[in-house]
Amino acid sequence: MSVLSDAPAALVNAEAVVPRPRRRELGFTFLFVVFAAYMLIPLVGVFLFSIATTWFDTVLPVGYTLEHVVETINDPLFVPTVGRSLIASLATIVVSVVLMTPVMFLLHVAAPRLRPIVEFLSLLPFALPTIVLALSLIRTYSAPPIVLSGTPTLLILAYVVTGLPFMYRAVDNSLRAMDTHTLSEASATLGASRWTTLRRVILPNISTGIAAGALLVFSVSFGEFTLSSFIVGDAWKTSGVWTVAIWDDQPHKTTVMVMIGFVISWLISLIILFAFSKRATVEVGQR
Amino acid sequence: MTISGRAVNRIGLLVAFAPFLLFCAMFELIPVVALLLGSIGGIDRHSPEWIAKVFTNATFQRSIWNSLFLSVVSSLLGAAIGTAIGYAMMRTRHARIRSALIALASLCSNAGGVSLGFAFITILGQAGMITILLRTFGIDLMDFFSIYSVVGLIVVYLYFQVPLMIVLMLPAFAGLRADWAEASSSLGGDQRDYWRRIGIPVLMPSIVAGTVLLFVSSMGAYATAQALIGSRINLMTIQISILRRGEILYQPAQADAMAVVLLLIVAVSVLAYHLIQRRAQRWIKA
Repeated sequence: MSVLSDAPAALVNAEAVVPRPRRRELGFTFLFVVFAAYMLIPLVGVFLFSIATTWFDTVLPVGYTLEHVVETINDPLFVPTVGRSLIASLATIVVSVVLMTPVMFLLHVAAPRLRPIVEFLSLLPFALPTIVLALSLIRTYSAPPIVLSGTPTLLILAYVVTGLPFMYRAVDNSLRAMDTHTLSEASATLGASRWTTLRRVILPNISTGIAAGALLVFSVSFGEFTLSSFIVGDAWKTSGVWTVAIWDDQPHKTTVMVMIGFVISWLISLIILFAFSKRATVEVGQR
Repeated sequence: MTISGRAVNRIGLLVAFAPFLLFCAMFELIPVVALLLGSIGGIDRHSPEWIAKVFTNATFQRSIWNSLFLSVVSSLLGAAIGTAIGYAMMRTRHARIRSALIALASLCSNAGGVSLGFAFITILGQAGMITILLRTFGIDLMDFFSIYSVVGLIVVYLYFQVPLMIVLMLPAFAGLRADWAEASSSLGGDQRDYWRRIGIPVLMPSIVAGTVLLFVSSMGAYATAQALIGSRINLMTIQISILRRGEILYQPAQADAMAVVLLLIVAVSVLAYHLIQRRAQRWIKA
């Protein structure tokens, strides 16, 4: 650094403040390799385990087979548990979309003053540990006037709660991306009713936001474990609960289920990343 | 608006917002408030004794300390490593590598849950890939490390803590403007001056806020720990599950009390996060 300090100040540009770019890149590369390895090796491990014949005292499996995949899919509990998770996740999407779309629309065109309330209610589940949400719901809905404890209905409603922040962010991002206010005013000037504006101007424009939110909600609820194990447990066994239950006796099947879950959530993330919003990654921390 | 009178509008608004507000009241606010009130003896089932017991019973005390230790260490480590890697990602010259790593980080920041626990058992468990690889070099990992311990949980939690920190820090790094570095150097500052007087002060609120968020995510984590260790390690979330399920003893009121304490710890942290985040936003938006 002393060498640079001796040079006239005006000659020292921003890039020169950081010395030895090549050595710096070398350090970066080291960090990247360690990071990528840390992120990928557990996935490689679980993938190999799901297709391994025997694997307990060798570094790599002795042989490879698709037997576990076939066995898992043919398991009498596969279709019911995955089916229940699908039903719950899809129902969650429907409820979330119906609940959030009009609210988000009106926030932008008619009642921006309500934004802090909606934002607070939508983002609150982020701050709520899932297990606390589970216990508080069970506590409230296991006694009259409303008894829902142990029912798939309560599970779906709980999923909707955990999905609220994802829906809010996704829809909000897409509404901000276009000028909803101007579009709504233009539409009203042309004689459209508020309903027509919602249906023909805003809805098509925010459909990408809703779709992204719906995919995220699906990703959060499919394969979910905590809420389903507390709220419905074995009475309405979801794929997440089943995946954990078979670990002790049939770990290979568990890893097949884990792989299925990973693949689904990657596909969803990749779709969102590339098809919906190129800015998705940076937006996470901005609001 | 031209299409209808003010009063009609107001009623229309109310009707439109009603389902959402009703839903949030019924499934967010009322259950959580009922849980809180119940713990201080306001409503039915339990009395303040259950709360007191969380702090006096040795097992419960232990669970709080274990959870705090796990969360503090994993969030500090996650924040430090995530900040370093995030910085490297922003500064590297290879744009392709940058976007690939951003995608990887955003994928993995959503990881967690039971899948993650099982994935780590296949590499660091007793018959795990890395455990056996090290054994072929004559190193017995089990001598000094177990995935089924608090330290093991730290290693697993870092899997989502590090990418989460990266994702949280990217906007902050993007907010570090090149002309600040130029201004600093044209005023005769060297690299140390730049970081001490500009870089760190600007980034600090984001780093602290991110750390708090990592702390929150690790305090509330249950599924990952449950898959990995079952009931073998005494954490707050695990303790709540034991009390609620009745594997060993069935005490739902005690579980609720423990949940209240967890909720309060998390609520205070989130509040702190928001206060710090507001400071951080000042630079990011500029």
